[in-house]
Amino acid sequence: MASWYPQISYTKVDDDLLEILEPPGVGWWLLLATALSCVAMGGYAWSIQVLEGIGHAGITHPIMWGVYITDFVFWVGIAHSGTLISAVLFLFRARWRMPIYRIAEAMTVFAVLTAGLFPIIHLGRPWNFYWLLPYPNQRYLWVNFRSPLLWDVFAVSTYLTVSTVFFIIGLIPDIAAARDRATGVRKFLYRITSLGWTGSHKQWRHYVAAYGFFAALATPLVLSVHSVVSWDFAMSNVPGWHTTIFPPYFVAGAIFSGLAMVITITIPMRKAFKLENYLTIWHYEKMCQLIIFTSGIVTYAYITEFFIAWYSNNPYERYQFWFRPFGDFNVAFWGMVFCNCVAPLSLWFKKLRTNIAWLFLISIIINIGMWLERFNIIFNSLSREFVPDAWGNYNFSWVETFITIGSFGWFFMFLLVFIKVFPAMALTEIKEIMIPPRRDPASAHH
Amino acid sequence: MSSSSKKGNTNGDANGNNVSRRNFLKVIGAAGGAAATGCARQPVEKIIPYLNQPNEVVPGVATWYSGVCGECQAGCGVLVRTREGRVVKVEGNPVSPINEGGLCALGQSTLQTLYDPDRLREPMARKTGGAFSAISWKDAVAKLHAGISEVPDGKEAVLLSAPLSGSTAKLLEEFRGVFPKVRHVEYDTGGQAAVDAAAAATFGGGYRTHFDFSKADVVVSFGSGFLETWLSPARFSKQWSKTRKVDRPSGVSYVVHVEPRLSLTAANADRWVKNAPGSEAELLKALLKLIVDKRGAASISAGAGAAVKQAIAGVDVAKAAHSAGIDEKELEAMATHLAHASSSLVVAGGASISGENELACGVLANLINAALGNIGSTVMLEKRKPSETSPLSDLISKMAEGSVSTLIVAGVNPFYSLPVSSGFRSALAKVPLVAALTLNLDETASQAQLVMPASTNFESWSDSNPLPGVYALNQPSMQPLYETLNLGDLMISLAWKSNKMFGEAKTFHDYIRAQWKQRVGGVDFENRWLSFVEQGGEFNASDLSSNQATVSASAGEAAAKLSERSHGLHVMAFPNVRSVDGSSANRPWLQEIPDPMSKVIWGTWVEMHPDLAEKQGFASGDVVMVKTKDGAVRTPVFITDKIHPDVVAIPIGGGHDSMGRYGDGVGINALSIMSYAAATGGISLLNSVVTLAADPRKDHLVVTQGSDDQRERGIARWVAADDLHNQHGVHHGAHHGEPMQMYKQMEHPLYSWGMTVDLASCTGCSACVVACYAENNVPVVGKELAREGREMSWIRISRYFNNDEHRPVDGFLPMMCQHCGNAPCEPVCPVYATYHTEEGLNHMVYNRCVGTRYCSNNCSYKVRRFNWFKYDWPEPLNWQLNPDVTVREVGVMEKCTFCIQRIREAQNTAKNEGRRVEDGEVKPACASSCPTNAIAFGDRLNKDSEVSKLSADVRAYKVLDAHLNTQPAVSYLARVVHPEAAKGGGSHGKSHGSSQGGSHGDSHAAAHGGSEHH
Repeated sequence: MASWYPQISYTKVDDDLLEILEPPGVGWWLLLATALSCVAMGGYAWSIQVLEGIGHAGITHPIMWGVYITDFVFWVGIAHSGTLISAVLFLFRARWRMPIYRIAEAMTVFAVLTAGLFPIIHLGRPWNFYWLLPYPNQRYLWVNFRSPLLWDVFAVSTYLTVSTVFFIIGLIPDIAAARDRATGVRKFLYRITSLGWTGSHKQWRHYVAAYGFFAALATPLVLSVHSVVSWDFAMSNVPGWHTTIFPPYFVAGAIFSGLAMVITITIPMRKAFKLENYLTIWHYEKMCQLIIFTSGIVTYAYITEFFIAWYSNNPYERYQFWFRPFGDFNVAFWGMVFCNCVAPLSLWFKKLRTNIAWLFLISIIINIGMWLERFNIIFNSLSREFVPDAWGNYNFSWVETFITIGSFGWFFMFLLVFIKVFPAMALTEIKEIMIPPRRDPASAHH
Repeated sequence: MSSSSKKGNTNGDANGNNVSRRNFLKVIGAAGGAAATGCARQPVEKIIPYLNQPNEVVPGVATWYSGVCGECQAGCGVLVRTREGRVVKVEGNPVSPINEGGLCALGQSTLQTLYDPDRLREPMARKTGGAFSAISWKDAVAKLHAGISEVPDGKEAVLLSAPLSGSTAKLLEEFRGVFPKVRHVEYDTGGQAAVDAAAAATFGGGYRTHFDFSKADVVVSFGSGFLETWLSPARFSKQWSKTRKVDRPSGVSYVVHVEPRLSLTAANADRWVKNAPGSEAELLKALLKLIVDKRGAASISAGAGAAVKQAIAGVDVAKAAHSAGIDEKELEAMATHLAHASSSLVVAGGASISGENELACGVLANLINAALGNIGSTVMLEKRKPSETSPLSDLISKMAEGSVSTLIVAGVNPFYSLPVSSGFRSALAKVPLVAALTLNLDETASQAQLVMPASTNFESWSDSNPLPGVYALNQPSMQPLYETLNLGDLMISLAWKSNKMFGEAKTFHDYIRAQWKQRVGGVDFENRWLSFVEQGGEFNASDLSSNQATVSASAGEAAAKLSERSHGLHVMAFPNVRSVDGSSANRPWLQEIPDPMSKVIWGTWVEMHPDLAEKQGFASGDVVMVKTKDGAVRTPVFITDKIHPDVVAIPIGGGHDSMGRYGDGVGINALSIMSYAAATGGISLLNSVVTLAADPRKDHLVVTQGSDDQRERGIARWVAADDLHNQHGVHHGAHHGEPMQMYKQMEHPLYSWGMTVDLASCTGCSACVVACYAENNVPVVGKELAREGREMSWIRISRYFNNDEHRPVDGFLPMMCQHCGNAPCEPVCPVYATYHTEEGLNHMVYNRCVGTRYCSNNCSYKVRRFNWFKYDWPEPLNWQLNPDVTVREVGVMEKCTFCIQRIREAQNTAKNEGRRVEDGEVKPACASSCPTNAIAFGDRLNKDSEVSKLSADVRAYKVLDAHLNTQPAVSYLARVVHPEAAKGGGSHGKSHGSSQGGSHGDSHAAAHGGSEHH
């Protein structure tokens, strides 16, 4: 059993982990202010784009999608590992998920909330975004179920719903634990959000069953969401997009980037809240193993794309895959190869993967690499399609940059608030995998 | 069509435009004939209330008027479409023998002169302080009258205008009877003067040569851009296209074009010969000698013999070829083709031959035609009274002397279009009264003391006599927008001031009628007049084939005497389909359509051979200074190997500072650094370069084409006329046979609309592009947005280069929405904003579009355009907007609709008459504008329709269909080249030509070289 945890009492666990909810310090306020400033930047840029036209973004003929869709896929990808960790690893009884799954789930929900903005931001007429929903109307207008963009609407909204519900269910016992210690407004909030949790056996029985059900429900979504997102590309006829490898390749990439983001987020948290006892090197090693695995999958996918382009003898595909490494924007390609294929190789070395600073660096590199991967797919494919006289390039504008920065602000704003309002570490699950204390009068029954 | 132009209401709000709604209605109510009145006061007539609607005006239904395009001297017939009293579109007049339907880009864009927001609206006089202030027409006429009637002794008044024809010319004669001190000087920018001078030198005065390309089996052209700007490009293009038919009894014509740069005409020739600048006269001489050698001196008519003999005396063919930098065999082959052809034509004209030897070139071309027996077959002689105009150089020196007291400049802009070295600018200051009758306060007008707003052809009567027996008649199709007059009415007003009348004519309209009555006779005149007005003139083209003239003795001398050509680097200013003399600069459509060869928009550039650029250390897009002895200009470099290394070339038309908001400050004026050939009175468009140096200024070229190399993707294909089954430019082995269909195919119960584009006829002239802008309310986005790639053009002309030295263009391919049967754009739209109709059209519902732009990403042809912003049409440019077509909102996608509004109109008519739409009844704007009828449109279900037949042609192919199974409704017919030309090799090349462009807008060329060819 969980011998990697030192012998800690349940009370100490509550003390340590609920301390995160103590009133924030200056550092937190500074971070929140930064996040809010970024949101303001993005909001300003978007308002200009809405008022005057989407031409303020750099996207242009023939590259009709650019940074916005890159951001969308990036955030959907980030959203991936949360459910993987909470649901799939739960079903597989991978016990190392316990200390990170809560923050990963929060990350999922907030990343979907961020990702969901981009399909609206990138619309030419964002005020009509609801036309993408199949709602009954007097004009008998209906949506086109053949369009992958519509599948996106369903996939993302389903994913958001299920992952939010799953997230909330997981929180209930921990909120109750916080409630028992809280006073004032917080007590009021926790009393409502813990939904009357008392910790009775009957409640536990229902809780565990519900949790299992939702884990089972969420698991296929892990595969479906990013498969559907990949169909935005794969269902088109664009050379470089039109390929059957995209769904598994995108899912692997999403897990890859999501794990990297979990590392990026938890390492500073671990440091700030002194969680070294709970988030141990062992956990990070486990994540590294998964990163090495998914890095291998994406690398294999990259190679396969090139092989098929050559093997198909399709001149358009061949040109596209010549253009990526040697064309006008090969920086994106080589950056992607370095970040996603080469840099993660260092994690094969135990010395490096157990070095927290190195891990932090690699996780950021992977995040950059995965952003570049999507940009590479979108930009390069669209810039060199079938008719050479219509080829063109693209420079992204300040508006797109601001909105991208704004999306990070938006995401971290939610995350920062969450950490201080709800238990970001799963008290219950951590206790589950600890060696149960015996004959210790101080330990409460949870 | 009717001569009356009583028109209905207008819905527009014209406030803030000096035209109030009330005034507009008042003017609208006036009868058309009286509108172009000669007197300063507009006759007031009753407003027609809408209750008493004029018979021919039905709101929502267009009224068409015939007219004449006044853009150049060619006199193409036009049909003007008006809606509720406003002109909205111009089309070629199919019954005009000049253009036989079809109209060039310049002609299409005339609407933007009519509705130019910077047009001059009222007469103005310069105050003592120097600024202009508005005056009444009465005062303006009085002032001008004083200027021409009270000319001091020893001085004269001069009317400077483009060459006049028809009743205007006749009126001028009578006008000079009233004002004997007024002299007329013609200022020709179209090249006719040089052709006339050559005809005079060859055949003696009193002849004009007319060329007929339709009969020529072999054409050798020295510099004359007969498919783009030279003399009568729409007519010549049509004639040329008739010789490009594979079923032509005498075979496809063989066209050789000799010019130092690859012009549009050179690009369409079967063989382009890149000669050293200024070497044309020597080459023509050598060619003449070779032809005489081949055919034998005996074959040459006695009259021409002496002149020919004199012309070729002492000619060394090898030396001439060497000096011109071409292979002697080249000349030999040319001579062989010409000598053996049963019918041929040699023409010389344009920028590259202009200068000291222009006359000699023209005479030599005439002599060659005479030696080949072409006079009367491809070269027609018209007996014509010799022009009495005195040379422009004479006028300039008189002005400089101070002996011109009044100068009336009518419709020309010499201050801009004459080289600085002509001295016109400084001489103009010495004229006490300069009066300009002008559309805009252009460079010349802004130097004048008196400016008078001129009418366009849409607002006034005029006529001309472009060919013997062809009398083109132009009626106004709209009430004048402002208080404007044309030259005829101005002359009548001035005569009135002297209490003189020309016959009974109170207006120029009366005068024209009187002239026509005199010419055609008074029997049943009223009815015949109505039919003339209705069809746009009297078209009984005379047969000139029996006109022969003896070659005058002086011809040999004119041909023999050549000025020594200067060697070294030259600069050439070339006219192009967007601008012949710069007068079209303030038309946004023309600024935004790409130059067909360079694909540059909004600006000028200097074309430079890569060797020269490398030697000088210039990269594409660098600004360089080109300095001649006559001046210097600075403009970005455009590197292309489609030009001789001894010449750099700059397009004419840029560098205005007083044309208006669209023309000013765009590019530079290449004409300003040219030299003035005092001998011919014309501009030499070729000048020696003194210095070519880098300039620190930053500028950029906007190049709209990504790659010039089609990479054997089979987009623009060509076939040899004797090998029609073998399409070149295709990556072979891709796909064979009918593709299997996975899904049930859409059924087309009523119609299945389709289009064919015959690349054998398409010259890339871009008339269709302008026509599409006009018909479909396509917005103009301007230089900066176009640089970002946001231009909205629904048609683009894809121009693909290969590495063949003598036929470096695979073809010009007008690319518009292909209305695919399996349209990739359709399934990806989440809201059904684009979908397929039962009539085989790919519809775009602007209202429904939310702007995901997925359709554009998935469009294999990249023909969809997105409204990135809201685009405006400043008043009164918005008056041109077609009421039948939606003006699109920001954030929606748009694209070619096959002119759905025209299809619906025809369907409504057909339905009312209880029948199906007949073949040829629907013509999209591009098809109806095409000067060579390259575009056909119709119902593919009707097996007898033109499109059905053409799309079953052996040359027909569908772009990308073999690979993607998109099943386009547009079929292209591979370009046809002469078997001789096909030997060169075409696009089986390895290099990628000049690889200009690449990244949209950045002139750092993306030389995607070294990519694999499969």
